[in-house]
Amino acid sequence: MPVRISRINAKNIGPIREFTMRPGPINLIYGENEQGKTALVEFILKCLFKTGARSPGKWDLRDIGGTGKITVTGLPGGKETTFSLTKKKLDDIWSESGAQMPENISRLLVVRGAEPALADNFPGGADKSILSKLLSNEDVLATIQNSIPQNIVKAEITSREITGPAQGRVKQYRDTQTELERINNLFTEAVHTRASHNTEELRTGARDLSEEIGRMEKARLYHAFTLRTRMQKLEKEIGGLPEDEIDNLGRDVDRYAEKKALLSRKTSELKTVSRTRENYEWLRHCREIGDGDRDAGAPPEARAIGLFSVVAFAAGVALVILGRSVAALTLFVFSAAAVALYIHSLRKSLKTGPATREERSRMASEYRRRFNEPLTGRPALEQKFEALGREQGRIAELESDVRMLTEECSALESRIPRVLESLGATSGADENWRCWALKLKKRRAQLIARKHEIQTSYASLNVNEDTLPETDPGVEFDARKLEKLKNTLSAVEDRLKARERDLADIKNAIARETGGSAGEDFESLFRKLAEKQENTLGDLQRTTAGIIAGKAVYEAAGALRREEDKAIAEGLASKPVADALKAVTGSYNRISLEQDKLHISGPDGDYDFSSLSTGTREQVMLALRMGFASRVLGGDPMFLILDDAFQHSDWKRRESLVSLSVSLAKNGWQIFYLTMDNHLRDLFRKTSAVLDDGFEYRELGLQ
Amino acid sequence: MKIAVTADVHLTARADHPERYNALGALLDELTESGIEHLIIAGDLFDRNQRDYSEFEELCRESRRGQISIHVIRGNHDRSLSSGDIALPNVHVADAPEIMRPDGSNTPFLLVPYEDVAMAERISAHVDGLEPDRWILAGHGDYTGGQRHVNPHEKGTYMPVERADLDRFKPREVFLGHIHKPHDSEMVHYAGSPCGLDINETGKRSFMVYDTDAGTMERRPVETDVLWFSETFTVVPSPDEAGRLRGSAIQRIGRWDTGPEDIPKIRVRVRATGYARDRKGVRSVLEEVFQKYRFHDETGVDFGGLMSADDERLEAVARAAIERVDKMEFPKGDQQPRREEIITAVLNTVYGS
Repeated sequence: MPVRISRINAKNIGPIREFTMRPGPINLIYGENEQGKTALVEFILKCLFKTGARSPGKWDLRDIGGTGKITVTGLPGGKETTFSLTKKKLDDIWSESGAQMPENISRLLVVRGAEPALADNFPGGADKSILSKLLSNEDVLATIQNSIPQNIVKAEITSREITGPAQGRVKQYRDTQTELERINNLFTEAVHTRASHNTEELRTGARDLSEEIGRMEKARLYHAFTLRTRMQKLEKEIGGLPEDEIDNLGRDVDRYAEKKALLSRKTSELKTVSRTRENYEWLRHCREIGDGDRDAGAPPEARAIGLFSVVAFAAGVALVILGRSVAALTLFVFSAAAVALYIHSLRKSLKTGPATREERSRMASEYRRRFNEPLTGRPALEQKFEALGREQGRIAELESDVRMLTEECSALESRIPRVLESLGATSGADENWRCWALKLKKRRAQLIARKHEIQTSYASLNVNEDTLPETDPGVEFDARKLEKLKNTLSAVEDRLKARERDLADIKNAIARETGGSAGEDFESLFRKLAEKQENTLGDLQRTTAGIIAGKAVYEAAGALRREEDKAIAEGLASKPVADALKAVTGSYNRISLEQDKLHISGPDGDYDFSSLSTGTREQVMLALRMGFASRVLGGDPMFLILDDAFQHSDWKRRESLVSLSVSLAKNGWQIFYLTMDNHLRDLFRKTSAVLDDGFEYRELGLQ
Repeated sequence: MKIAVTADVHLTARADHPERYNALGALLDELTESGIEHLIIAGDLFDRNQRDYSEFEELCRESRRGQISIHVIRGNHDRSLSSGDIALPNVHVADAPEIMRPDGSNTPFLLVPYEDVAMAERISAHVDGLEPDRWILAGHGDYTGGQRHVNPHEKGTYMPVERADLDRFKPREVFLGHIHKPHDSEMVHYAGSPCGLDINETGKRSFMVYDTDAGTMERRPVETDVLWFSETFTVVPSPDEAGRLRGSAIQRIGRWDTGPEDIPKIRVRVRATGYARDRKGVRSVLEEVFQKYRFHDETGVDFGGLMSADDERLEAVARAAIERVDKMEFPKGDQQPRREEIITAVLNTVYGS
């Protein structure tokens, strides 16, 4: 069913106070300049179509004000529909009915100025861009696509990564990604460094070690003090064991042993020899008594002495009587002495005097006993006596030796114990002296060795002996432990320095990354890094979203363009377009788009659209408008509003176009032509005469 | 034995934030009813500068709450808290690392209060004698292993504990405070705050219960006076944008997992972004769907980011692009934009061209 405008009522549209019209097949609206012709066209557009700034038709209309209604017939539902400036538009009705109407249908149905001759603006003739502009959203889609940078268009997006030219947004994406990775790594490293570089633990450890080393150092000094004390004691002890004394002692002990042994030998020898002395003396006695006879009484001298004693005694008695007691006493003493001498002499004479037979018998018996041989006589006795006499000289020598050795031994026995005691040893029995002497020598050597040993230890402590403490710190010095502690402390300090260096490095790195200062505390730098991490992540997400969105939008617009291209191609090949082409041109019946160029065909052959005459191209363009418009209505004709569309055509083409318009009206199309051109007005009047009452004329300014 | 764990209560003066006291009270009551006798508070029991502990003490004395042994670990907000501050026999403040064996349990808990050092420094000094994989670490700080979660109020790194630390010291489980959003990552569990502090801490709140015998952990809900929710809708213009938006809003509310009884507690922030054919219509839909809820402020539905769209050609391109986005392969993960961000970028690309 044809879609037609059945009534137009408008008030106060631009300069038009009131306009009323019941349109017919051909409707000519004439008006001179400033009479409201343009305002009326815009009123019709605004009432029937979406004409906002973002509307598909992209009309740039003025605010014309006013009120009015336009009634349209032939719409879905079959009833008349009235449109106003505020109500629904044709676009909405077709959209609600499901009609696949081009969004910019208004551009097909309303032709302003010289648009039929659009091809003139395109050197080389009409091509796809003309059709697209006229028949599709090509311009919108192209604008959208052109707004998307090529680096996004060329970007490859996969589930793993986005790649593409290192330009614009893609470069920004890569840079931001790299930056974020760097920040993340720095953050991880910073956290790890801080977490693993527990400097406080190390500091505590170093402090504990230092304290322990301090205690051990005190112990070292005290140990040195004790060593020095021990050395002093040893020196004193060594001094108490003088080497020369010990050596002399040794020599004395040796000499003593030697002398004592010699004494023993001499004594033994003397003893042996001394046994002959008794025999010698006995022989001497035997010799003395062997020649006399003691039975003859006392010897003469004994008898003289005995007589003197008697005389002296008698004189003494006399003196006593005489009262000369002192002299008497003297005489008594002499008398007693003489008696004693007499007795002695008598006894002596009894011993040495000539033997008796009995004595000689006993002598022989004794001789046999002593010498184990019989006494053969005086010569044998004398011989024996002489033999023994020779040995008596040896006895004296031995006695002298024994006496001398005894004296020497006595001297040593006296000195050695004294020396031993002075050296701190117990003297004891002399057989222990050598042992003591050796012990003392050994002891001295041991003491010296010990002193050297301690001296070495002391020297190894390397201390200032003026500062040695005398107080025990309560810790036992252990050189190995001290060395181990120092090594451990050194290692801990090295680790601490390394960690502090690492921490300083990471702080510097964060400061460089964030623009902060390495002098800030860790927390402050961490916060800055975290903020930068968050901001960079936000940037990356926005950039990524922009690339994904751009790519999706570009591809979506491209797909829509391809769909529209396909729709255009289908439209060009459709029957309504072919019918319109045939109806308008009278000869061509097929149009196609090949490589963005229009080709038109007819019984006489195929032609490039650009090779056609201007008039033919205008006819073709008008046919395309009509064909595409009627196609959406299943081939039914519609209304066509031509706003002085032929005014720039020459006279001949004007006639042709007007004739074409009348011809279209005959085929069911409703034509509105608005003009200020008297020639065109007259042409329409003349040509439309064939339509009888199908021609409606209104002249603006007269109503 | 079951041990409850919570954190980040951020108690202030009760008059300023009674809901925080009420949430903690409700948690304690839940423990008394469940027969759970130990509660670990993993830091930030008190908000910064809160020095008056009497209202907390009063709270703990109420009803049978005194039967619960409360082990308070210092956090970065209450780092000055010391063991002598709380005058209650059942509340113990761990102001230095210590090993806690609740009722002689075979599972020791190493409580590590917050300090400006790496957590490993404190763990290493106390881990001797703790059998690997048999002890529990409870502290207050950032776990920097796995997916990193950041306290939106505090963007630094607080007493960090690394994955490598856990490998080194081998705790069985780790219970941490500091991140207010409940989160579980392998052996590391953030208890989350028992009461959302503001509109940024959304959703129903919970606390953890750890069974030392079974080695299992469960989360139990906390009754709170306030439930925060924040929803942002990216509107894509279409003839049925209002209907789509309505469906989306109803779906979002459904995900809150709340019942009619929760409605008075709910404070919601609703934002609309993107482009709409009918901004007024969008507003009407959102105001209608959320009409039974209180908004977190007087702004109501925030339409500041919602643009008007009246070009059906652009709309068609936008819709087609969004369909493509939903079918596209592109990098996904923590560092990638969410779908809403890409949709917004699509709309900005189309409508900004």
